[in-house]
Amino acid sequence: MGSIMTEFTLAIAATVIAATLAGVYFTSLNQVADLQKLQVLGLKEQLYYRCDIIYAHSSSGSTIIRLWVKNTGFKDLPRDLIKRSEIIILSENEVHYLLYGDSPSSWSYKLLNDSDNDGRWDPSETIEVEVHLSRSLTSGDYYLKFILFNGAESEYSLSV
Amino acid sequence: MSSLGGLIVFAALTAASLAMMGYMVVTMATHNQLFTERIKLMEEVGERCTGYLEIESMAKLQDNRTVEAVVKNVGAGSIPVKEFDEMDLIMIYRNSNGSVRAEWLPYDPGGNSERGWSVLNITYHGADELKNPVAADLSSGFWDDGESLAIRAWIGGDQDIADEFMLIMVAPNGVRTR
Repeated sequence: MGSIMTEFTLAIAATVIAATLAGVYFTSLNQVADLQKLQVLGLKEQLYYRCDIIYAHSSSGSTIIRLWVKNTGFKDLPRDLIKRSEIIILSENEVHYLLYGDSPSSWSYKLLNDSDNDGRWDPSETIEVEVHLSRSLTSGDYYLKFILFNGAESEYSLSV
Repeated sequence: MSSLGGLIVFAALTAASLAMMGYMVVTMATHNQLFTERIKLMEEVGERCTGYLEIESMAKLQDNRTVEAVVKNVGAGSIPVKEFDEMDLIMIYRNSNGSVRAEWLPYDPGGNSERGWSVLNITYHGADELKNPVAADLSSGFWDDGESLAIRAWIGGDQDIADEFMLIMVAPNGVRTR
């Protein structure tokens, strides 16, 4: 009887140990898979929403800078997401951080080739961004950065 | 009864092994799918990053508001004529007032807009294109690698191109002139 109890206890112990080891192994595999999924999701978001400043133009004494920005991603951006973009302008002496709006230091945009007229910034379409500054530009070099809602950014060097 | 204990252990371990193998197969399939997805994404990015457009020649016409240019597709892939409205053409020029202006010009195949650009022809080494020829009405066809696109671009009547000018062309996939 004692022998049966010993064997039974050993069997239960072996099963519990095997189950515990399997649990640890499965949990680790799950974590690796989750990490990979997150990586792919991150990669997708970075690739889906991207832009490229094609050209920027302004002149000394002007308070306006025009940028032409192309959607080089794979997804379209609705108005709300476009408006969440930010613009940073750096020069030797000043820094401008601009949000979408109507104030003197802000930016606005218009869709240039919205062939389907859906008001969305589709892939391959271009927007003309008008940057309004509170002070006029002086001669020198400026470094422009257009940052999308997801942090994807495009940079451009402008000299006026 | 000792064989009963052995059987229980054997059964439990077999069940655990089967479950583990099944789970491993599912996990490997998931990993494989994620890996394939990553490769596909990288391929899509690669397609967008290749090649460039090269301006072979450009000239200003006598009206001082129209220019003609020939742009070569150097490894930028086949660009469908139907997507020409997604191309960008920016003309930078100095007008007779001395100020430098930059204008984004819309694609206007009919040439009816006040400002815009249109296609004159697509050629391959100076002769008619061989691959994916473009229809006369520009309803089909591709601007392929190695082919040259002749365009005409014009600015508004209230402006003029006094001397030098520059063109920046960007394909729908983001490939641009050098």
